[in-house]
Amino acid sequence: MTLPRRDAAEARRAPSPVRPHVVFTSGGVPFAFDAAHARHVLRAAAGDEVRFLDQPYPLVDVRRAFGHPAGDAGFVVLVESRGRAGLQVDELRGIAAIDPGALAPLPAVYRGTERRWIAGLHPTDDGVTVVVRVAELLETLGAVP
Amino acid sequence: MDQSEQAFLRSVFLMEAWDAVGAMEGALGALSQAERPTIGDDHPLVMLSHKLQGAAAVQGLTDVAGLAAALEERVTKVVGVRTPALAPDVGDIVEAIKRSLDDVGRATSAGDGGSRRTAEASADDILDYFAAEAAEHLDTMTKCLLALEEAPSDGEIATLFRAVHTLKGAALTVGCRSIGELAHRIEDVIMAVRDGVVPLGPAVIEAVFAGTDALRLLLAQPEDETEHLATTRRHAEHTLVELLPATNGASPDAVPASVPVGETAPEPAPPVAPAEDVVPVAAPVLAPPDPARRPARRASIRVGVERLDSLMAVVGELVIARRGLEGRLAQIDQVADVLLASRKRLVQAVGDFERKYAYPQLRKVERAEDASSEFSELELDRYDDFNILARSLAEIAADVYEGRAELAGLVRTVRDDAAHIRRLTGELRAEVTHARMVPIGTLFARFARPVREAAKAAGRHVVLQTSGESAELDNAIIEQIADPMLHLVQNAVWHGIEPPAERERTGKPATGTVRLNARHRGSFVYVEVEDDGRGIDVEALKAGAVAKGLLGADAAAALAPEKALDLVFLPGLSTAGAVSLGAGRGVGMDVVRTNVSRLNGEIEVESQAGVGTRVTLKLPLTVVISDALLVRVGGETLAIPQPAIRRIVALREPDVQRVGGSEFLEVDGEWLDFLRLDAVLGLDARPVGRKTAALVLRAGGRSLVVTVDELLHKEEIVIKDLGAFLEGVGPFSGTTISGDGRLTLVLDPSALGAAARAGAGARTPAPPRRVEPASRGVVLLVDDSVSVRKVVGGMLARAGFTVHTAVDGADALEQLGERPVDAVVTDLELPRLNGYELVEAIRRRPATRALPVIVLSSRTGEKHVQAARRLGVSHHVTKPVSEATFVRLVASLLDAPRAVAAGENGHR
Repeated sequence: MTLPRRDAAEARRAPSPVRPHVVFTSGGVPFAFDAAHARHVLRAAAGDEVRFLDQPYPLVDVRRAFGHPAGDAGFVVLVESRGRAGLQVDELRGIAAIDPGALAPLPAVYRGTERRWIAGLHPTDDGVTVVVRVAELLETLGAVP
Repeated sequence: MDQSEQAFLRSVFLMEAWDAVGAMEGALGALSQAERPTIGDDHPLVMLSHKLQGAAAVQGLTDVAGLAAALEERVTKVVGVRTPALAPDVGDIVEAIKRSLDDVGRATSAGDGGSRRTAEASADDILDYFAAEAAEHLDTMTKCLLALEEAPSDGEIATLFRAVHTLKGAALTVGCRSIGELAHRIEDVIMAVRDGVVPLGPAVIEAVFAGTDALRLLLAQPEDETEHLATTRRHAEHTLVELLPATNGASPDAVPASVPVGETAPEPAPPVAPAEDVVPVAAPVLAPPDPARRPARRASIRVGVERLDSLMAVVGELVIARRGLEGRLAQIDQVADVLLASRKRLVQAVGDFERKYAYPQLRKVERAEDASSEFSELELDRYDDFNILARSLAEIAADVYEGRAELAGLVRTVRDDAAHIRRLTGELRAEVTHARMVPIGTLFARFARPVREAAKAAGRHVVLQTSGESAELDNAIIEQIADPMLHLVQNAVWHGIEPPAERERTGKPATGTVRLNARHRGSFVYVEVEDDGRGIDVEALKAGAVAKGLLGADAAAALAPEKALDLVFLPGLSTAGAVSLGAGRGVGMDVVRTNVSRLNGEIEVESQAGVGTRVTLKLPLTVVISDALLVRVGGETLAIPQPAIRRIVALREPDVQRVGGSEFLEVDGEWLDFLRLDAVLGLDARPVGRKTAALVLRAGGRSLVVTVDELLHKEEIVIKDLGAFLEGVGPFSGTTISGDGRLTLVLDPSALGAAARAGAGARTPAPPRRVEPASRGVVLLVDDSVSVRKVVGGMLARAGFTVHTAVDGADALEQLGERPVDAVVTDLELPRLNGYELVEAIRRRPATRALPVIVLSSRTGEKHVQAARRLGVSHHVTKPVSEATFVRLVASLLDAPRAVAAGENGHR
């Protein structure tokens, strides 16, 4: 089953700024992205890509992409934006309501390409969730055709 | 699609649906209050009802979709109508949608996927609680065994029996069958000892110790028993069963019968082989569980009900305070209404006046019709329009003044309320901090066994004495000092306490004493590890430092004894002439100090030859909440833990001395490393000539000076962990959230000190030279992306290279002037100085002219490659790289050693 697509203009008109975000962990760090980009969730799979509804989703090792120590992924989250990819993540934590307009900016000491794909930081009771921009992340990882 | 995925998608729908319903209610409320309501095509009610209808239909939720359609129909009927009257049942429809969503939510969580996850979560919780409880029982057992070893006592046997009995019951109840069964075997033996069937002797003590060791290992991996662990468990069971007379062999039926009263009876244990059937197995070597294989388990602590009650009491007060604040808001609303009414009256009075006097003709007619004109002024008081206006204005002014006064009073009250809430949140924070506190006695109890084992292995007679066990520390600190403390305790036994004969020769009792003591002072706990052994031989220490090239002979001779003791913290230097493997757990005193410093603590060594040694750890009560000084550096706000700040000094630029590539500042007669934080962190440099402040920081047993642009204020901060997200970014220990919702990074002075030490290395004559570990070569990796630095740096480090990183070309050049490097790996697109400019500069400098340079870039065009070649780049590699190929390439370049010396000092 695919997640309902969200029309961008409709999303802009929606009165509530809070958006459901898929929260996952990689290397112990919680990350989140707008659930509108999530298409499907699979158990971790080996190989370079997975196919879903006849579409190929290149697998992306999120730990490696984010520079975390190597480890076993638990799930593959299929995402679509300008490109598509299967993000190999450690753990899926579920859905969290996050207001993209209220994110704390990334401190200036982060100066690399991560500034492009990190939308901001969302404080939680037990730490901080890093909110990523799926389109820019896929672009950085070369998953955009 | 399986059920868990279905539940996942349903949860996404529910989240959006509840968002939509909330927004609908807001829109309905706004409509009812609007003076001139209108509903257009893009009104939220139209959009949201339509969207909800579609999303519910996709999910197959026909009830919700039907209700949303009904709502959309009613709303669209009044689109474009002036002052629309919504159908009276609109509110009912929204309520019905909410009820339906509730039903969907319940059905989702009651589904297989949901219930399975809930069950898994609760099982995890139970195991967490069990692990904490079991650890306490095991500590009690160890304590009892040590006491029994000294002198048999019925009381100790009874305590031991209770501990193992409760542990067994709890283990079987939560489903940890192997732990329960092994505990049952121990219980059988203790019962036999208690009943006089088996005599209490060394064999029993050893067997029960082996059982507790196996239990600890099983506890670390309750769900995943490895073959090694299974062998260890079987061996322990076999040893225990062998102690029992044949008739008292293992009786499987006894397992459920001995579950403590009041606990849920577990399922019967599977039959356990009787003594004669147990196959003897070789004693396995006890090894700590492999952390990589250990299932991730949340750390948990037990919190007393009284403490939870205190927490709830504060929460209750917060709720009351919130209600009070809501009441004040209602009062403010009322005052606002009064002010609004006054404004209306003012507009009315001025309007009337204007109407009369802006149109004189009208005024004449009105005056002609005035019936009072037949009276003279003496006959009738006349109020002309000016009088009336003046009176109205005076009344309105009085009302406004009254409103303002009332508002000022309310603002004062709200301020008081805010202060009250601030106090309550402070109390809540303190209560939560207290809830994390555990007595340090739980840590001390863990050392009884290692002291016994170390003494046995080293051939010493040692008694462990503890005091101040009730001093409480944050559980996180307890866990982080456990290994360093163990190292200190084992050091005391191996290197401190003398062999019995030697002690007797020097008039000491044959049995040495290791004392652990803890005491509170202010917001710190002082933990002491003390022995009455031979003390540290200061002269031997100095000689060792000189022999290893860590200290010059003259400097060693001039070093005062108390300062010389600090040499124990140098990497590679032992506390004793006789270094033994027994005390070496791969942790040296330098690592002990680093770990303590990381907690914003301090460590001090005192020793007297022939009398003993005392190591004192000064530890903060908690690492979660700390007082910090907020500073501004390069446009960023940073928090510096207050315990790490030694003092703030006035900075005069001319006082800063530059030696080689480093800067130093003299503070209190001592030359300290001087770091410009903006440059170290790669932040925007402050404008030249702007006044800065300098802080003297405690950084891993030494001091250093850092400059900041501005000192902001002191604040109590709650530190949040950023985990791996902070790795490689800089010397930070975590983050805190400021009042305006921004994240403020917390500086880790120890890490900063380590970086300064690494940078100082060979360039400073005074500090000891840094000892480089054996390495295949030193690579400087230059990339502005922390991810690339971490991934590629990790590849090289795994392959045995020493990797230094630079964030841009300028940083790389600076580092090349400061430390020896064998090769450079650089990106092309870099801030400040790009890759081409960097290579150009490298080739210009005589000292670095021959340095191999690899370009690692995503720019693969012929133009880019040729430009790099022209500058003398050794290889051009395209991102991303294959680890094996890349490592081979770097290794091939370093085969013929070509090192570049620091700065102008020539080749390495």
